[in-house]
Amino acid sequence: MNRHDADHEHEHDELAARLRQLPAERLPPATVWQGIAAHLREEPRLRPAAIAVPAPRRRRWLPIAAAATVAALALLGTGRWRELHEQPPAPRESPLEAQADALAVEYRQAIAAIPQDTVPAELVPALHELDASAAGIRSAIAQSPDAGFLLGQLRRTYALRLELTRQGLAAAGLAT
Amino acid sequence: MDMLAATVTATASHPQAADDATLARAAAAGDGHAYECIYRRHAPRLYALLWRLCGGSAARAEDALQETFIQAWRKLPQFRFESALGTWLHRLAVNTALMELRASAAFEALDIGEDGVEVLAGLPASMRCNATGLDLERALETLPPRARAVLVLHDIEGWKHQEIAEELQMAVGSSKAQLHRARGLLRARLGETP
Repeated sequence: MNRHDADHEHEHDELAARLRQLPAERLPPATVWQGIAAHLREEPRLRPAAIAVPAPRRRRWLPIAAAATVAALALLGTGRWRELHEQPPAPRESPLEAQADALAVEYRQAIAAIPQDTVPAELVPALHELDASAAGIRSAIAQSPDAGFLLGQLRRTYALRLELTRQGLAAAGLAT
Repeated sequence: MDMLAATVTATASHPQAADDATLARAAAAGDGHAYECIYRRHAPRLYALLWRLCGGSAARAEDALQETFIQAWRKLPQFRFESALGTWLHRLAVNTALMELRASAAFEALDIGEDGVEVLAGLPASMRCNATGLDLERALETLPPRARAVLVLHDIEGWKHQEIAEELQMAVGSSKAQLHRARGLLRARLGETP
């Protein structure tokens, strides 16, 4: 880009200069690498001999729909539909789903410690909404096992649900 | 680091100051220690970027950083060294952050409106009444997500409007308009006259 590019017309602008002087680095908390390392342990680098093996649950709707149609026709044609339908293979859980399960267990333990029957009535719709959101995110995780950001959304939804419940009880004068 | 023991294959083979390419090749072959070196080297730079793109939300920035390095681990064997490793990671981090921002209703909802009044309305009164007291970093956090992304990528990270437009799936003109808007809002937040 040359010096006369309109993009840099602000080159000497004082605000732009201050923006460029903002710190270029920020130290992330140690938990970030710990999470990455845990993921690496669950997902070790594939050896060359194993690379040709297709990933078990990479869902993409169109190819899956097409493949399912072809497979269903093939199965009907060979008469094996009933046999396989009665004994479906157990789906393997993705690492993301395993982490979501672990989060759900933590959440259920935390929420179990709170007396739900004393939650103020005006909070109930919001709590139900958050429960529905959490269920939706878990469903999305099952459908997109590579979308790691969904785990963060699930964590925040559970945290918000817990916080809202605690705040509601505190407002009602009940200790949690 | 027992969790990575199975993937550590060349821990002692690369020196302390191994270059990125050496580390990347080792990590692509499964060397977890090499990958941790890459993380230690590049994470602070990427975290600062993600922190700003995520509007100062530590939880979102941490999620995005973690997701960036998980994706990078998966994709590293396909990395062809046509760009610097840092550049590749930088692009991956932006992709990850913007994917999450796009998934958030706030990314669109907060962008409705011409002057960002809707965002100001969400600020604590103490911040609104004392705009000159906001430091630049805090002021950035209050910008609407899309305008903030354009400003961060253009004015801080040095991206061109064409690159930003492609990344944010908008027209080049929209990128320029968002930048103009973001600067105006930022000056207003800082109590400066545009």
